[in-house]
Amino acid sequence: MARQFSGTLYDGQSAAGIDVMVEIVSVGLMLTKPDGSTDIWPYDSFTVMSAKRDGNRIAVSRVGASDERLTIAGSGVRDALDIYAPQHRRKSGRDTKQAILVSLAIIATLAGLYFAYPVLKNAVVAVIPESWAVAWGEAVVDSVPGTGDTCDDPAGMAVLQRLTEALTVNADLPYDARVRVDKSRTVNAFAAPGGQVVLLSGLITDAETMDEVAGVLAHELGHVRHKHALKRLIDIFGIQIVFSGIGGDLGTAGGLIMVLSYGRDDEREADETGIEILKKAGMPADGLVRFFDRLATKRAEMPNFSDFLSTHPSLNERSMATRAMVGDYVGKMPFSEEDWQALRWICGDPDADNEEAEEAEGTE
Amino acid sequence: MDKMEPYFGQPREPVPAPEASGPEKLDCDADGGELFGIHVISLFLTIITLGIYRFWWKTRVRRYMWSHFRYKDDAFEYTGTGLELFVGFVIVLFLVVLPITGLNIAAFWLMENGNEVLGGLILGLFYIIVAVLFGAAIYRALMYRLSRTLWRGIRGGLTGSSFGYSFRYFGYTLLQIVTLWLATPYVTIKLFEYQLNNVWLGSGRLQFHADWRPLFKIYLLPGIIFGIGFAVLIFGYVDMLMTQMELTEALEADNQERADELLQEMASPGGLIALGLLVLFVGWIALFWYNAALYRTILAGSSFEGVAFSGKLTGGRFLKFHLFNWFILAVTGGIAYPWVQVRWLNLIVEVVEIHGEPDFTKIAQSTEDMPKFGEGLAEAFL
Repeated sequence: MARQFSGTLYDGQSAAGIDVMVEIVSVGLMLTKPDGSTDIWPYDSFTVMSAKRDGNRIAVSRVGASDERLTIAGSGVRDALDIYAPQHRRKSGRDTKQAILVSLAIIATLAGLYFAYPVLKNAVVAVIPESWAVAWGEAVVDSVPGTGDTCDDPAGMAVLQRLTEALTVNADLPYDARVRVDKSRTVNAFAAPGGQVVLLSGLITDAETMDEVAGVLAHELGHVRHKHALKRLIDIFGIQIVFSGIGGDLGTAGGLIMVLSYGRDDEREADETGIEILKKAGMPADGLVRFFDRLATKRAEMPNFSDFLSTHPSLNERSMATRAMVGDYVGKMPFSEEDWQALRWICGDPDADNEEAEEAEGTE
Repeated sequence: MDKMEPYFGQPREPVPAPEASGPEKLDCDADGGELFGIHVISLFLTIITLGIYRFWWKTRVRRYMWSHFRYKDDAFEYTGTGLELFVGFVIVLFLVVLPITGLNIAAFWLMENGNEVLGGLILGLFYIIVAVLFGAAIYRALMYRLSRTLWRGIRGGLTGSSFGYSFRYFGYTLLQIVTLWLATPYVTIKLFEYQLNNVWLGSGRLQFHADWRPLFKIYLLPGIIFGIGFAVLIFGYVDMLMTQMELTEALEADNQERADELLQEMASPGGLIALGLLVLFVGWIALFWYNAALYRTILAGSSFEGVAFSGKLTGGRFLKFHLFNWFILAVTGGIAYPWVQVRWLNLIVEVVEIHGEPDFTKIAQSTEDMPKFGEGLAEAFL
């Protein structure tokens, strides 16, 4: 294997090179200039910047601040460097091997994250101060379409206040519940981070008894107990961090409304806790069951909505599950018919737009 | 150490003499598969570092592409580092992005709290700052890249001022809006003139002068087609709004027959809108011929220390090139991206023709100051 090659030295001052003779010696590259002077480039003082595919021409860069560059040409020069200069040996197929290893590592990491994530998330949720959760919750509530027109009829507010107190006194909630009613025809209710619960007035005007409203509120308080909204918010932050990191810009895609669309497990858990809260408050627990039944009947009449809701546990399923949880428990509603009417009038005349009450997303 | 054998008497490898007639070409031996390996590894590292590695990712890709791109058998070299890009990003995050985000928040806060005028003014200021920074971001990114590009150990460079470029960019954008984008050839050539005349390799400077008028003739066809397309689109949109209004009226008047008729009309795919989009598509195809002409003009208008350039890119070639890129990206779900990058390098090799040779002894190392950190603005705005 030849150890001597012709080269061109670029001194970093001019684009015109000088011809040199390059010999691969034990300590490095030995350069002989036309005037006979020699210079040694130790092996750790340069990198092989580029090599032609035929292996007959390489470009070498001095490391550090020097702009000196050397081109070495001659048959087999890349192979010669492989043999005599181990630190500059080509790592053949290195990238392919690395790519395979890395692909496996990606899969392993994703699998690890999949299992570790819930634990991490619970740890994060546990350390978020209430004041942050409340501030985030306010932002979330503001961003939900149909909210903002908060009702404030004093008699209705007083009943809502009493209902909330009766339900939360033994409910073991991590935050104070802040419940309000917003004027909207939509039959819906949701819980935002920080214990904020919004009932849309369509839900109240649509309900046949106060038991149903109490049932839905208890369900939402179930979400509060388990900090479901906060957990969803963390999910979204997590997704955004990962995607913005990779360069894709999900931005606010999906928006904060995603926070409020819980998964099946969250819904079941909130149903379960809701029934428990109702029982602890001594209130009838079958209101929630009847609410599901009524929604299910309505949905059956409006088949267009069924596919929209297909990702949620079916109403029939939830109705059956909650009915089983209620069992033969019987509670007593500590509210009079007058109280119920006051609550119905919290946003003014409940029958004003009852006729047109549209049903949208159901309770979540 | 052994005594050296006399060497200079030996015959050297024959160097092919440059053909007097034909132009010289660049050369590229980048490989999509190798580049793919770099991308996969970097993607993984980017994920596990929550995105931080992406600066090193960019650097690795550039280093690979530059080192496989050659002029006169000597490869280009990229000496930028991931750390420089990262620091540039952090600086811009704190000095630019956070303050102007604060400005934006302040504007909305003021408007929410009854101070609409001041809030509106601050919001306007915010948009102007963003628009000006946009042009600066383009220029500064190019400044950084050229300062990290070496050939035969000689550094490239971009002089001129990023804000000089940016104010031109801003002004020309306004001109574009006023002329409904018919000024595109003029604006493009003027911006390239500012940029390219500031490009250096060491002490050698690129010169660029070109006439935009011949380009304007080629631009007229796509330009007019775009004009028609947008007009049809706007007309179709207004028509749709009017049908909707009519439908509301019909429903309120309980005119079921008319309502059904209108609903049917709306259900059929918006005829005018579809037509408008089709026209825009045709205009966009015609634009390839303009873009090819633009690149030919840029090459023909450029010279470097006595070297002239030319290009032989045609609109059909450029269209085929893009169609194939999209095809392989679509069927592989984007995995073919590294191969597309290599195709771009190969297209440059195919197209660029170099006439003559500079006096290399006159090209000395650059004495320009180099930007210390890179591309933070581009990271934020592009």
